[in-house]
Amino acid sequence: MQVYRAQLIRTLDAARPTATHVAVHDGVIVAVGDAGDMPADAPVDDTFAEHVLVPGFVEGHAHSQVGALWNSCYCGRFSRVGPDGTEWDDLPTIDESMARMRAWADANPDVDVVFGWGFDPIYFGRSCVRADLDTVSTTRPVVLAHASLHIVSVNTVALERLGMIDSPPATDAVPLGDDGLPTGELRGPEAAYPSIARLGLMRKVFPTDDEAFIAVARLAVLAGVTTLTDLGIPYEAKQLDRYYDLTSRPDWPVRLVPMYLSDGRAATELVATAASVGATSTDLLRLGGVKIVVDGSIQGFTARLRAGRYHNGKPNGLWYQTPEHVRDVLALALTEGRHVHLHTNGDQASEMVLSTLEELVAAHPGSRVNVTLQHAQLLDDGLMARAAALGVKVNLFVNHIFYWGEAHAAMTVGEERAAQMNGCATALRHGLTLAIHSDEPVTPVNPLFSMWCATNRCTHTGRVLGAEECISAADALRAVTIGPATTLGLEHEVGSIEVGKRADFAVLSAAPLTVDPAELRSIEVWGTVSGGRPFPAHG
Amino acid sequence: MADAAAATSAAAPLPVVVIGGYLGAGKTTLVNQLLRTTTERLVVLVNDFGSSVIDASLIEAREGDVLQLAGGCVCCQIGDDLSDTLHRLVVSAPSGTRPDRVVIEASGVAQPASVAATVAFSAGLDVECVVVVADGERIERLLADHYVGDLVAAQLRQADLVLVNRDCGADLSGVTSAPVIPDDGAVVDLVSPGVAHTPVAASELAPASAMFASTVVSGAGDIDSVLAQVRAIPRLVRAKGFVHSDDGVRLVQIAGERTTVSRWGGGSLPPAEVLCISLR
Ligand SMILES: [Zn+2]
Repeated sequence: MQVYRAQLIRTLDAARPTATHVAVHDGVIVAVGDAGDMPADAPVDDTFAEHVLVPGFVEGHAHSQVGALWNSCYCGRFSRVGPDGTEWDDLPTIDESMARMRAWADANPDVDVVFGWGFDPIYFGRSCVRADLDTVSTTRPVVLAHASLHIVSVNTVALERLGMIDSPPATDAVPLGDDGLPTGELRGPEAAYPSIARLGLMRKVFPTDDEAFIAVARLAVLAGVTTLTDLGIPYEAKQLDRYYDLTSRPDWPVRLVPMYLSDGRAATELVATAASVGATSTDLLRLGGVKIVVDGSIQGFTARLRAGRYHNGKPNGLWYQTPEHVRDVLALALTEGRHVHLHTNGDQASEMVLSTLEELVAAHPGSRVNVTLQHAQLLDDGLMARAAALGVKVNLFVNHIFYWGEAHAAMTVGEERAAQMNGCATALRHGLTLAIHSDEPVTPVNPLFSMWCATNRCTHTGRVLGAEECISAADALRAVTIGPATTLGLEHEVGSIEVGKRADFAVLSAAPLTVDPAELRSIEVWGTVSGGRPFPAHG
Repeated sequence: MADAAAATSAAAPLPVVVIGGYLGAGKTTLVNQLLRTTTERLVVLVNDFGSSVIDASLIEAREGDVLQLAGGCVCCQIGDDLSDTLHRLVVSAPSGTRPDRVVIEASGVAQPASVAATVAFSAGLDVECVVVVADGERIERLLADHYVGDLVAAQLRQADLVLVNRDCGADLSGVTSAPVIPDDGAVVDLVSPGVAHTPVAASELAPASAMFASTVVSGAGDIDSVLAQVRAIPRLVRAKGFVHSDDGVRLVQIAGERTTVSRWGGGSLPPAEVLCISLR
């Protein structure tokens, strides 16, 4: 038995919204209230006397591959915290990105290929080209992956190794400069992936060693996250064994929710595998959910839009699964209430899923709909109403407003759609279960930052995009705790501070419902309490 | 033939056949037909790896996600990254396991051109032919489908050859410029006409079908003039054979509009013949 005293505890229990003391036994909350409500003989821990406790954050959409990326050089435009707690500064110019890569290359002389990631040309008005990367090295290949991971820029040595300097392939995927030579950009997975494989990079980019997963757990603690999804992995024995092992170690700090990525297997096999693997779940490892990637991304012009085209005239995007496969999986999942998470960035993809569900539910009354639309960035009022009628939950990608809001207004969907996209206020008006997320590594896992995005809707230029869709800090806090917990079917265990639930807390320097919402992203995270055990972010 | 010896030592690029088409079009049927009739060592990469994909009678052993098939053929799942799979197949394959040809059965939503581009960017591989299969009874409805109509049209547009089974006379000429060939059971010979890595006389490989005419063009002489002769054949859909030009032996492949010429790396000297298959 242990009592934690805090400056303030924000419980998200409607009957008792705030408290100062919480008692924990065997990882479970046994009392919430003030000093007088605590069991008489329990020792009081004052570590958090100057801190604020909120329910441990639940990141409902993240990917473990980021752990591997941190072995190489982060080159994103905006500052980001690495798994070791190091804060990597903003890089306002391409020259500064090159300087960082040079320093990284010098510090890692034994690395064969210098690899950077997170670069995004939309902030610079031009891409990173061969001449830029030749300032990093003229002896080693240098590869800079763009934020999408679908485009890479490479230096001259890399192009020589690929045989592309002398005879560049005649395709838009390898654009040529005024000198008739490749600019160094390899555009699209068709060009980028085989090329980096030929440079020997594939395993470096996505290795599956313990260290990479431990790095992900550290990122979670730094952000106050106590439940973290790994949204879409193959349920392969090797990968599962690693999860069983890591999550059973005594110092493992975070509940993992890895879902089975629909990888082309027939629906029956997919759902049966999800069920049998799901039966091996433990407290800190929750298996059995199914993930289907239905379309692509909006900023990559691969999401499926009802408009049939993008704002800048690009053609409609790609389906990554057939509507038939989606229907087959949903039909099976509905009969047993299995959780299915569907990545639907574009509104046509969301509409297709909702139409399919409406038909299935009409044909099979009494179906259990445990379905979450992931990203669902372009759900408008009408689609939200249909989602609400079905009991479908939504996990919106609000971080997009800051990182790509301006690009969406100018290029992908236009100002009108951009002002409405990731419409948290509309979702709440329809009574939808709402979560907001980072899609780490696409944007950094940081629920306080996601709360800031949902409450302020500021783009990277400081402009407010779609003020009508801003929500309150209280609603935003629910969208990073009990909201995502509900999308995962864990709302009875985590997501609020109530007797009987897991003792999972985020330990903060200030009260998120009291500070100016503009300051939400500046609140410091001391660390977490997971299953009653403190995990400091630093130290 | 000054560099014949050098050409022999450097392995020729591995030819790759891409089979595309929407879900249920008949891709798997075609793959099984290929496996049943081939005399080559094929590696077949499939997207869907359910137990029922490959004919049970062809399977000799199963090790995890790899099926050992009759005649030394192998079937594996593409996994989550085609380029990684291709790289492992070609670059890090144990010696002696090099196949004669790779057949990729793309997923039902794949853009065949995108699969072909991935192959083209991979080391040691050459796209030989992009075949898109269509179910004649469903194709018009699919082309009009609210959600996938544009995808199905793109797949047909990106084909070198379109094979239509269960033909119901749909006119696809407005959708694709590729030859549209009704499947009469012999089309498998168009997908993979004969052996790429053993020198068999091209004349022995003519498809046994009343639908096709085959012509043999001499492969002696300049590559451009041989190709010009082949291209002059009316309603040509497929050609394959060897040209003995001044600077060595070349393997020539034509599928619809696609022409691939690669250095011949086989051990013995193939006959100078190009088999040309055209629609009657
Ligand atoms: Zn994701």
